[in-house]
Order: sequence, then C-alpha cells, then structure tokens
Amino acid sequence: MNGTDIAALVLTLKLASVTTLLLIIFFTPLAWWLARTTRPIKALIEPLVALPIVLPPTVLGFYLLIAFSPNNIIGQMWFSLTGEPLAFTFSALVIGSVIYSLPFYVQPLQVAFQNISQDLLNSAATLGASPLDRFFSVVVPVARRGFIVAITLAFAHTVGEFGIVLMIGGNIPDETRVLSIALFDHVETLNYANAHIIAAGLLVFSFLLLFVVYRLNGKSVPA
Amino acid sequence: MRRDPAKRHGVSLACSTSCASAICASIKIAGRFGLFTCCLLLPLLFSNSAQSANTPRLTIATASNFKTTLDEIVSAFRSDKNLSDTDLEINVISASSGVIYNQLQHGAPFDLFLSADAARAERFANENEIQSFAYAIGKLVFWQPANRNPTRQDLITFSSRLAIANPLLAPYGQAAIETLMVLKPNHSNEIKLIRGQNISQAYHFVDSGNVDAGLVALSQMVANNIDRYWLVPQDSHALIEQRGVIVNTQNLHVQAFVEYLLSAEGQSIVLAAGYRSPESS
Repeated sequence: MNGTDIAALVLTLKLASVTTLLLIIFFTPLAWWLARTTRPIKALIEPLVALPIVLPPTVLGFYLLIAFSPNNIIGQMWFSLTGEPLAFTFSALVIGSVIYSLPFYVQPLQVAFQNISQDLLNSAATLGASPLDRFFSVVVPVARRGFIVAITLAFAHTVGEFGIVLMIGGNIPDETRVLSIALFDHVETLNYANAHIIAAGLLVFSFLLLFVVYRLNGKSVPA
Repeated sequence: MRRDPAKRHGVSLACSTSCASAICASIKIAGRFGLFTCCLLLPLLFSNSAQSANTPRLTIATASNFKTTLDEIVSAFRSDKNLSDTDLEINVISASSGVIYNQLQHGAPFDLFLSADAARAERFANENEIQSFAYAIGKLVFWQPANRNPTRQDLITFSSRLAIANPLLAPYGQAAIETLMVLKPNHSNEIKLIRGQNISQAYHFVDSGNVDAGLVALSQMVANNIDRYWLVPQDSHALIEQRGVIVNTQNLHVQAFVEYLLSAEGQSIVLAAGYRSPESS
C-alpha cells in the first residue's frame, strides 16, 4: 500500500466513524418512534427510510449534487453558514453517507425496539424511572444486540460506499478520496497489483464484520 | 423480567418485518404467475436469439466521451454502405477506457475498442501484437458559465475551484494540468482542483453549478450548444490523442468500419463534433 492509499484508508475510517456517530445520535430516536408509533404517517416514513436499500447510489448522488449546488436552497444555506461550497467536501460525504446508510442503522434497531415488551417499560415506570432513565437503563441493555448489529452494518456499509462518493466527491486527497475510489482509480489506470491489495482488504474486512454480526445474532436465538 | 425479550425473538439482521412480508407477497404472486409468464416469454426468447444468430454482428466498445459522436458515425456508415439492421447488427457499448480494457483482458466479445486515450489502446495493441490507430484529437476549453467571454487572462487570474478530469485517468485531465503549469506556474496553490472521474463528470460539476469553471472538452461545448468558452491553444499541452484497436481481426465488418471512421466522411463528423482530425496534426 502506498502513501495515498493509506491516506484513503484513514479517510474512509474517519468517514465511517463520523457517519455512524451521527446516525446513533440523531436516528436512534427515529428507530424508537418507528417501533412504537401507531400513527398513519409511519406508512410514509418507513419506505422513505428504506429507500437507499433499493435506489442505485447514483440516483442519490445525482440529486445530492443538485441539492448541494449554490444555486439551490441547501447549498445556499450551507454557504451562508460556513462561507464555503458544500459539494466536494468531507461534510458533503458525511451527509451523503448518513442518508445512504440510514436503513442499515434504523431497521435492525427498530426490530430490536419492537421486541421490547411494554410490560417491561411499564414496570420500570411504576418503579419511578423517568422516560430518559427507562431508555438508558432498560431499553439500551435489552436492545444491546440490536445496537451492535445496527452500528456494525452502518459502519461497514459506509466503508463500502462508492456510487455516491463518485458523484459528489471530486476525488480530493485527504478530503473525499476514499478507499473505494482509490480502488477504482487503480483499476482504471491498470494498476492491478494495488487494486488487489485494496479489494482483498475490503473483502476480508467486510467478511469479518458480518461474521461478528451473525455470531451475535446466532447467540440470541434460544437453543 | 428475567427473560430478555430480545433474546427470545432474536434480532432480525437485514430488513424490518414489513419489508420481509412485502417480499414474501411478491414471491407468492410470482409463484402463481411465474409458469404462465415463462410459457409466454420462452418462444420470444428463442425467436430473438435465432434471428440475431444469423445476422452478422459488429460490437464496438467506446470510451463514453465518444459515444454520441460514434452513434452518428454508425448511422452515417449504415447509410453510406446501404446496410439495414438485418444486414449487420451494430452494438455500441460505452464505458470508461480502463473498464473496457479490463473487460477485454477477460475475453469480452468486442470487435473494436475506441479508447479515450492513447495509453490504454497502445498497451492492449502491444500485448496482442496488433496496431493501434488515432481516430480523433481532443480540444481543451476553459469554460466559466457566468463569464460571457472567457479569455486566457481569465484563466490566469482564476482563483477558485476548477473542475478537471482526473489527470491519472483521462488525457483531458493531463492536458488541463499541463495547461495550468504553463499559464499559472506560480498560482497553482490558489485554485482547488475538483477531479471528475472523466471529462463528462468534470462538465457535470460545472453545469450543476457546484464549481464555477472547468477545463473541459470542446466536444462537450458543441454537444450542448455552448459558445462561451476559451479554446486552450494546442501548444500548451500534450496531444489529447484518442486511439483505437481492432480487437477481432476475423470480423470483416470491423475493417470496413474503421476505414469509414478514418475516411474523409467519417472524419468530417469527428471534426463537426469538436475534435481535430489526426491527419491534420
């Protein structure tokens, strides 16, 4: 692995970490709400969350690039807040990745939350636990495996992101040139030896992550 | 309290339950109608393949940036030689030159490879001990949509984000870097280069308003009816040469097509699309 590839690796891990952290902070409440709500609007929110699973990443990338343009509202708002354009920055990749990995975080967590019995929460409430206390001392421990699965999948999915980055990244070293782009460049320049290193690395990494997730899942099924 | 509900039910890995039930439903429907649909479609499949098996075929793999020009040349070739669809089936496949090269290495059934650069065509030609030929020379332009009349001076004083094709991948990108070195030898720190995977993406970055200006291809200006640009002089960068290789010498139609592509008629289409002819260089 040469220096630029190592920079791409570091950037990829940074992108996946920031994305996963943002998903945990901002979208855990969404998973909880989806698991508990009986409102009709749920029928609209659930497919919206699931969209990135079926949409080609190029569709997302195409629309994001339009949205990030200084000619449009989101791009304008970002420009007036930060003084710099949004597209082709690390921040743009984070926004794209949060959208792209959203279902991989929300769906496993939603299922885990749905499996928590209301009796359990009621008992905790009767014992005087506040809603926040109930969440952290009952929900989080009980849905622990759901959290691990959701976090692992969101992280792994972001590491594997390609189509969106290709469209909104601009291939800038240390800012938007992630591993999958570095791999693509190696293939394009017929530099197959370096391509093999990255491709094999991503393959082993993804397998190990999924292996861990399935092991955890397997243990959760009663014998 | 002692039995943890998450343990009893397990945690579903991939999809929520609603998603899974939708898939189940569609499988059920497919099961009911599947056999019926197959019976309907099978004869169609066979009749199609039977027909195309008899028709001679020419498969051209082209770099994406040449796709629209090639389509024009293909239809001009058809009318020139008086070839109908049943005389010769011509398939145009477009991808990046690196992808096509890689597919050819693994036995892709292409008859002709039109690369966006010289390097990949020549490499394939050398490896297979065949000849490559130049079929078009690209022209680089400085395009700044907000500027009605961009000049050399505008590029020299430009100090913002500039879209170019990735110099590692595309000769237009390499030419852009060389041009910047010539025109702005001490100013390369002011501008931030935004690299598209190819020249089309560099164009799209500017067109979508995300980047103020770009060093793009004249062919893109022609294709999109844009007349506000500054044509970068040929001597400020290396030749943007697009070369091709006849992959399948057994296919007689390839030879005829390449002859047409390099003929005066074929080259007039290439010129009109915003390229130079290799003959003139």
